Amino acid sequence: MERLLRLAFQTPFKEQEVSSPKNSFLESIGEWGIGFCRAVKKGNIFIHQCLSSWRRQLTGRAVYRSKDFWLILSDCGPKSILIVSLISFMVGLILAFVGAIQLKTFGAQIYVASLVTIGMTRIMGAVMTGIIMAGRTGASYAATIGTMQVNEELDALQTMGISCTDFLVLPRINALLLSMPILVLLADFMGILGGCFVCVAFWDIPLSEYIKFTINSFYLKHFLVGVFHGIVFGYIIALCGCYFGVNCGRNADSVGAATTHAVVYSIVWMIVMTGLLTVIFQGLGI
Amino acid sequence: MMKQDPIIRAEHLSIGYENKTIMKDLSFVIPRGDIFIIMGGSGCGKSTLLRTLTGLIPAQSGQIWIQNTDFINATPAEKLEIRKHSGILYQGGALFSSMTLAENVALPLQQYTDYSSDKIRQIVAFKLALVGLAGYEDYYPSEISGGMRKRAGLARALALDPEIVYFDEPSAGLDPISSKNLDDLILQINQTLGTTIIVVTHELPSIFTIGKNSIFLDKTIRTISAKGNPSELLKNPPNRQVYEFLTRGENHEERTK
Ligand SMILES: Nc1ncnc2c1ncn2[C@@H]1O[C@H](COP(=O)(O)OP(=O)(O)OP(=O)(O)O)[C@@H](O)[C@H]1O
Ligand SMILES: [Mg+2]
Repeated sequence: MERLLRLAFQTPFKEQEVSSPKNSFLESIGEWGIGFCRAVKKGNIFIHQCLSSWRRQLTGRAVYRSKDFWLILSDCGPKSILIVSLISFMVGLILAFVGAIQLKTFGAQIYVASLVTIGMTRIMGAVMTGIIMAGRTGASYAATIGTMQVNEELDALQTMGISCTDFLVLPRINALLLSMPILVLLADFMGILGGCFVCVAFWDIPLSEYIKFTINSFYLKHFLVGVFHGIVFGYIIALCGCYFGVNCGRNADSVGAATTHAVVYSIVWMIVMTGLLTVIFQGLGI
Repeated sequence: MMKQDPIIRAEHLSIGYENKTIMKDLSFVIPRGDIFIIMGGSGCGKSTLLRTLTGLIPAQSGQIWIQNTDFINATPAEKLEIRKHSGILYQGGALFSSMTLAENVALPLQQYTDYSSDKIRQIVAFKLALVGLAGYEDYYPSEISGGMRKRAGLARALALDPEIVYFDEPSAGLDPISSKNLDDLILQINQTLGTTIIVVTHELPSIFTIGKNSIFLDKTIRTISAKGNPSELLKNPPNRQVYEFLTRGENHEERTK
């Protein structure tokens, strides 16, 4: 025991660096501000790079392997169908349940159909799909690209003169931009189906009535607004996932952090964008 | 171009990340056709130096000439030209996991040349055979061992017949035999193709078998503390750190007594 202790104290502590003196309060606010501005700058540069990659793609100069694109697309399209269907069915069901209890007091239960239809098509379909895809695809983008960073694959790309926004980010953005509208469509449909299930099974509303009210309250503009939200969300999820992947540190811990950040930031930005878009659409009278 | 031209020359180079300087005042010359070892303790900045030389991170100050081009102020086109003539083997191979070995090796060829796909396939098969991986064209990186992954990474680094090949710790994580085989491969490439080879390593046997020239990065003084042939350095160690490093920590004072 004594020898063990002696050994422990013998070990030289050369490696230890002098810890920096504790910052004052104002200083740390300043540091935080500088860090924040740096992050904003980095984010903007990334968005700019993605946009210019997109432009290059339009002129056919951005190269990525179509095989990669199909793999990514199949992962964020067909393989998400089940979970998106399930969740939006449940959301429609919940909307109908909660709505019907309130509307029952006025004897206006049949308007549940309108509530579910408008709610799902205008916003809920897109928001639910967005949140699912952020957790599923955004996280997987960040983890995949983050792991590539850890394995120095991104360095290898860069030294081969291949732009990583062209090669890795662009197919991922495209895949989400393509699959989000379709998934939103599916979510809308499944939500309405969920509402229908509740009304017919629990509230004794005839199926034909429900369908009639659904068709009456289905407006193309609500539907298009929903799909537009879906596209915007797809873009946000892909950007956040890829951004945190590309800016991941070089150890396994940082991949975990990147994944968490990707999901949290995509959800936050989706909600912020929903607010903004709602105000804009209100202003436009849509 | 004369044969004696140095292929890389660095003068008063400072390297580091953002506002943190890791090494400063690095000056060295790498002759054409050399096997140049960058050695030093863990975390002293060897990989950082390699990243600076390959242009992954900017140098903080100082100058680098690669093949008579001022690398730091080079235009993107000049940088691309230099990169086309250099190959890098990363620590873990850095193969793209979504591609087969053949596709990995073919990627730089597709990027930099306009060879037909037939010709690319031939070159790929040849390079894989060179590193002893003939027949593994359609394997994915996850299906082969770490040592094979490194050799496949080497095949990719050699795809464009580069004039300079950088190795980041080629023998890390390999058993003694595999790492000796890799050393033999490095020597063979250097002798037959005349490729300049720059190796970051702390594997003593490799340092002595392959190294013709070397620099020793010292973490305490943050710069180069010794230069020259590794065996010569062992015979006449210029300072304690180098001696301890090259003898795995034997006490310098005891020897000089
Ligand atoms: N991305 C980074 N940002 C800031 N500092 C870094 C970064 N990467 C490495 N460092 C720091 O730079 C120093 C040198 O790192 P480097 O990876 O070059 O060491 P090394 O000599 O290659 O070590 P090893 O032999 O363990 O690979 C380390 O102290 C490390 O903390
Ligand atoms: Mg290293």
